[in-house]
Amino acid sequence: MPYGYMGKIIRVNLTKGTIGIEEPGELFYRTYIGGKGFIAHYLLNEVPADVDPLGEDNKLFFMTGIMTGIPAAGMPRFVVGAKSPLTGGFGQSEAGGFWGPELKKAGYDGLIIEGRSAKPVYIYVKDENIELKSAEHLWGMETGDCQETIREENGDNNIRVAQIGPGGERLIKYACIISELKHANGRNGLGTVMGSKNLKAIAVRGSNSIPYANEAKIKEIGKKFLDMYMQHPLSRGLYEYGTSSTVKNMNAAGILPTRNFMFGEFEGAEKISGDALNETMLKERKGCYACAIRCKRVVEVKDENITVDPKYGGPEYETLAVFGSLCQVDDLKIIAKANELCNRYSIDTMSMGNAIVFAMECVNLGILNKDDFDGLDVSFGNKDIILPMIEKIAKREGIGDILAEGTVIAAKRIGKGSEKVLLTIKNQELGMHDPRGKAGVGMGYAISETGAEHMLAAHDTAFTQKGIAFDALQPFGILEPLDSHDLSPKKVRMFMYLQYWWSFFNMAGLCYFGPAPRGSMPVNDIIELLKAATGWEVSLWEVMKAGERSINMSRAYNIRAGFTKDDDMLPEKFFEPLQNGIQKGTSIDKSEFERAISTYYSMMGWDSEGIPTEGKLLELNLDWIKL
Amino acid sequence: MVVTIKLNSELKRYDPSRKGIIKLEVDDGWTIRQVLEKTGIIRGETEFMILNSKIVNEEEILKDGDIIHLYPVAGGG
Repeated sequence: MPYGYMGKIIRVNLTKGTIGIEEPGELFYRTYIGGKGFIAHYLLNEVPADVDPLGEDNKLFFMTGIMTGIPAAGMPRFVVGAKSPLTGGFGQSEAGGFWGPELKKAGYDGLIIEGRSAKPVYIYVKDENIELKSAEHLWGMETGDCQETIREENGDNNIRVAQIGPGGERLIKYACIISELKHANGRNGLGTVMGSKNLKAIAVRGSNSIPYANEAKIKEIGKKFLDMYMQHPLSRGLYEYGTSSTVKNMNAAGILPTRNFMFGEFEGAEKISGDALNETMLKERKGCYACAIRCKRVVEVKDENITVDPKYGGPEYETLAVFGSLCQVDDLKIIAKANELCNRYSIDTMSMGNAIVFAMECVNLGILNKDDFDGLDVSFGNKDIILPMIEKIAKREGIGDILAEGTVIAAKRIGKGSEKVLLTIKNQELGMHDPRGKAGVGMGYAISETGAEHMLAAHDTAFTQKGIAFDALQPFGILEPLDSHDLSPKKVRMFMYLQYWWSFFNMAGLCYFGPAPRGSMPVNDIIELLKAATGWEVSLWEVMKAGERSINMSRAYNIRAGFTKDDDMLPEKFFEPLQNGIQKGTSIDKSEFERAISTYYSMMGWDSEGIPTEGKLLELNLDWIKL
Repeated sequence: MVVTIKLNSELKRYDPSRKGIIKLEVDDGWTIRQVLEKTGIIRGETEFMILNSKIVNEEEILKDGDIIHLYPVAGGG
């Protein structure tokens, strides 16, 4: 009998209307763990890297992890994957919330979605009953109405719904998947793939328990965390501020992305800060399944001219920065509304904000003008255009139809030198972290299998000195703090080990706010929990190797998709100096950065072109991957 | 000599008034680390220490009248 996982994966073929159940066996689970490990396995084996991402032959995967649903803090996550329509390569994006644990309670670890339905449908999983249901009446609905309708028509208010809104239906290239109206599998355009398959939603309801090998041990570790988390500063801060306190931090450190990364300091930062959010619009602190930290914000605005509906949650740091400082907009209510609209329409806030700022930069350089925007003055700092631009893009109206394709394709269509404005890596827009002040994050951006991604490993700035965060790294043998600008082999090693650990989070279903070093649950307690859940005699070494395995698998898929060493590079902007703030004049030395990437390849057991060697693939039990 | 600590976000809890400002009488030559120890601020809880418009570390030696701005470890996402 499996422990920690359910042992079953659903396979739905939307073209044929068939539903099947597969049982991949224990070796599969122990080798690939879940999340992107499963996704990479299926992509490499079943989805040729040259398929049209929005064609019938692409497949969409919803995968939990081996620890998803353990009743302890930070273990709610699931991962959606496919060949990405935004990047053209390995696509995956995580979300927290409740959907993943609910799927496991229904008896399944994941779903594989194949083909394309002739008409809109949704999948309803209720324990052993799995149905394809018509979604013709749901097509066109915003996420709020859709969730309510699905719950009503199935007579159950506790159904968990992962779905797309009009953004996914209209194939906005960076449409996301929304669950509980506020948890997003945000990046890589996976909602677009869902839209291309005419799949509106996957609704789940489960009444089983997840079996564990040692229930008592799980309760013991869970209770230990509950007893200490409010005393632990790294958890308590998340409860008080969520991710919003990052605005002030980055601004003070001179690396808050401002005016399309020209500046690192924004004069309006205080107005869009965590303090401002807490004081003016915070309604509730909410969390994910079984997690006491409650880092999610719920905001409400009831002004005469602007309202923000709390059922769509509230903005995270990335959203605050991308619609705020990046656009030089200091109006928190507009940012909160932008967040609400993106959640209603199921569009990634990060790529949406980047699309708007790309347009602002084009206007600034005279590449585009008011006429291109039907009279809107799309200038830096003009808060009044944020919401109209979101509507234009979401509805594909006017130039919004071009910006809906992602900034790389938009630049190709616009021409006139707009390509030089692009801040993308592997075709995906950046997160809100400036690599000029966080060199390891810059490495992550460049190396990431999913295009610019800020969540590849822990951020440098928390590990520049000894103390509660840094000291938690000892189980990895990381013993020396390093400057946040450091790109020496020591930094590469720190980055690589943390990337393994972070990859394991993704595969296991863990949120990085639960475990150390960013969270407060010690590394070795996570391993004890994994042992208690599965009954396996597992070690930190084994899970680090699992993380490394998934990195190599997703790398292999991207190599097949045509990505090369040249794609592991930052935009030129970051080799130019910051133009204000306390890090004014700071830039990354390009040759030093290139050297760090080469060192990383070498440490990873990849050749000088960044291709995993045969020996590395054999060591990781990936002999079935042919490159 | 007197130094001032300006606390941000969650670190404000170290100031009983929650305003986030602590003034301290310390000996000449004290470092930020000694100041943190005296105030009970947990080592490593601070992501950025800023003094005179520069990011500094805990070994920085203080002068009379210095104002240290402290920001806690935060997280994006």
